[in-house]
Amino acid sequence: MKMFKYILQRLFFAFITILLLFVFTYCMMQLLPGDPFIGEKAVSEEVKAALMAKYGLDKPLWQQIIMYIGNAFQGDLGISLKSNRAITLIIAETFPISADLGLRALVFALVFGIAMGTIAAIKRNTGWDSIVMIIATIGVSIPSFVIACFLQYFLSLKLTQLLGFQIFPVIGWGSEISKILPAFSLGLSSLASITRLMRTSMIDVLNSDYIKTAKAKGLNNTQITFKHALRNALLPVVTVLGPMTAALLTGAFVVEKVFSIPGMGKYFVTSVTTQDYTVIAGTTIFYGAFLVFANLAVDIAYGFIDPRIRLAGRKE
Amino acid sequence: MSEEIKVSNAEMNEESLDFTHVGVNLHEGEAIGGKATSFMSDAMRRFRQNKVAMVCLFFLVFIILGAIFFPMISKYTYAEQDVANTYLGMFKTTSEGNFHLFGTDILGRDLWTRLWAGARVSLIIAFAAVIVNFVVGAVYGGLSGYIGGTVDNIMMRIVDIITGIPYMIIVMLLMMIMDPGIITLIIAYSTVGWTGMARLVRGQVVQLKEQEFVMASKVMGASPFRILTRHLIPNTLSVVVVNLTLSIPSAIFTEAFLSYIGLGVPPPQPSWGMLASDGAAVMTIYPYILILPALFISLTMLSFNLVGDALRDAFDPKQRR
Repeated sequence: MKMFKYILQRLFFAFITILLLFVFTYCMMQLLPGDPFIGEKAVSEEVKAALMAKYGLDKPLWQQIIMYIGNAFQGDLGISLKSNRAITLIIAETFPISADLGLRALVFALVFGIAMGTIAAIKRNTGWDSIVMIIATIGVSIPSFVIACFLQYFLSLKLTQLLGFQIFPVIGWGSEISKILPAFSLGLSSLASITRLMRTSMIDVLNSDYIKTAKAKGLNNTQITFKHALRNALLPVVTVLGPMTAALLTGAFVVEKVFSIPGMGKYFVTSVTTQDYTVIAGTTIFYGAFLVFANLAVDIAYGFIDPRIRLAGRKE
Repeated sequence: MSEEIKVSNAEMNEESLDFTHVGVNLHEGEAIGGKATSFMSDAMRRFRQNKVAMVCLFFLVFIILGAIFFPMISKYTYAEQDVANTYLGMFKTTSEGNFHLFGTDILGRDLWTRLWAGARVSLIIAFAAVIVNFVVGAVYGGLSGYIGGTVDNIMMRIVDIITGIPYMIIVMLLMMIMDPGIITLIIAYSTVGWTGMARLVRGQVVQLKEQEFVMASKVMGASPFRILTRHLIPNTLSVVVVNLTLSIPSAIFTEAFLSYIGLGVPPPQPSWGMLASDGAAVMTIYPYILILPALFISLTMLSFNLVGDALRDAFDPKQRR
């Protein structure tokens, strides 16, 4: 019952957040200079008023917002000012590519981050620990676009010149090999933060009493690490999956730009530079809603995983 | 042998005659010997022992002083163009005898001057954004935690909702409707950045106000002002300082990120993000134009991160010896 209430509460806040996102984005678009008919040839006041009435733009702001939300739920986010294509169509085309890139980066960051963090915790205060922590600290300190540019320069361009044949293509998104460098540069900062988090939580767990009990029982280190410690140490990592998705999505803006990947991030940045306002509004709402649901899924999953929440309602 | 002992014994006897019984001074016996070590000085001592963090701190001081003074004493300005000498490599002198330590960029502007002028912009944005976040977040979180109850609940749900929306998207939207510039970047970053600090301070206040030492202080008749200034603020300060140090790299990163996608400060004003963005465009031919700002950004972020980590360790009461 507690769990049910917890899920309901989360759903309610997700709903409010998305609603606010709509209102916020729409008001932002209203604040921008110009109106939707400014690009066309000079229209008389009467024609303009008729056009405004036709699209419902003469109504009060709150009615316009409700209309916008209503249309959005029917899969209509308006059309692009520059290319005249439906925004939902553009999203349907570009989002799968971004999702592919993001998932690859996420899996890469999770697998290596958890492994490196665990190694650092078990071999605490040794050379291994130092090496892992140096990599992790450097990883959080270099912006993703710098890493992307350097990987592109050294591993695509210089390596090709050196070897005489190409291993990593400079730009583009096609073969599996062309996906390695973008996913790596996108995932590196997430990998670094997962590593740091995993190390801290693993050290905490390894110092706890039940691990001492397991040792006293005579279990070997492998059993202790994998059957007892790792599961509990993974909990904090689950909590950052939501914000991490957000970081991967926004990080993709620049990585996709550097590697010329025809994903949603690149499209979003292009529409920012060309001031394609309807596309910006549409994609912003899509991004926001996507992240709200990602956070919601993580929160609910966490509720099921952590017995303290499952049994006792909200953790405070 | 035995004579020597006798002699020394005699000397000792003579010396011991100087001692007189002075009686027991109870008052002095109760006094605490040695200088009292406060939490702060103890933490600072531990911080100073961390060699890596000290090196980083000196590097940061150098960067900050450099950002203040190098653009002043440079013989070029950041906007001064010399179109006859574009893309001059590092350590080169032009035919007119102008020496450029880091070479020149696409318009023949001196890269050394632009890097330090860019440091100025990037650091001003980072520090101002972090200070605004700190003030807003500390007041909001402090009030929320101190009042408690329904007010606290509502205030924190508002924070939850704001954090639910990805901050980079809000910042980008704000950057589009306002005129580009330093102030805009600060406002845009601060609009969403304070929520983390608010949560942190609220958590600390809620935790601290119920603790025994605060109650003990109340029982002994301390005024609310004394409790606030002597107990609550000093105990929150360490966590806040660490958080501030660690949020500066994130502000630097945000500025660089926005500049890179074309929403930064307007040209010809340089910032590290702008310089990196300019450099990325010509990376294949003139890699140093990208490498230099990238190096500055990364080293500064790295130093702030390491100093922040070291401060956290130094403030950690578990490590107090």
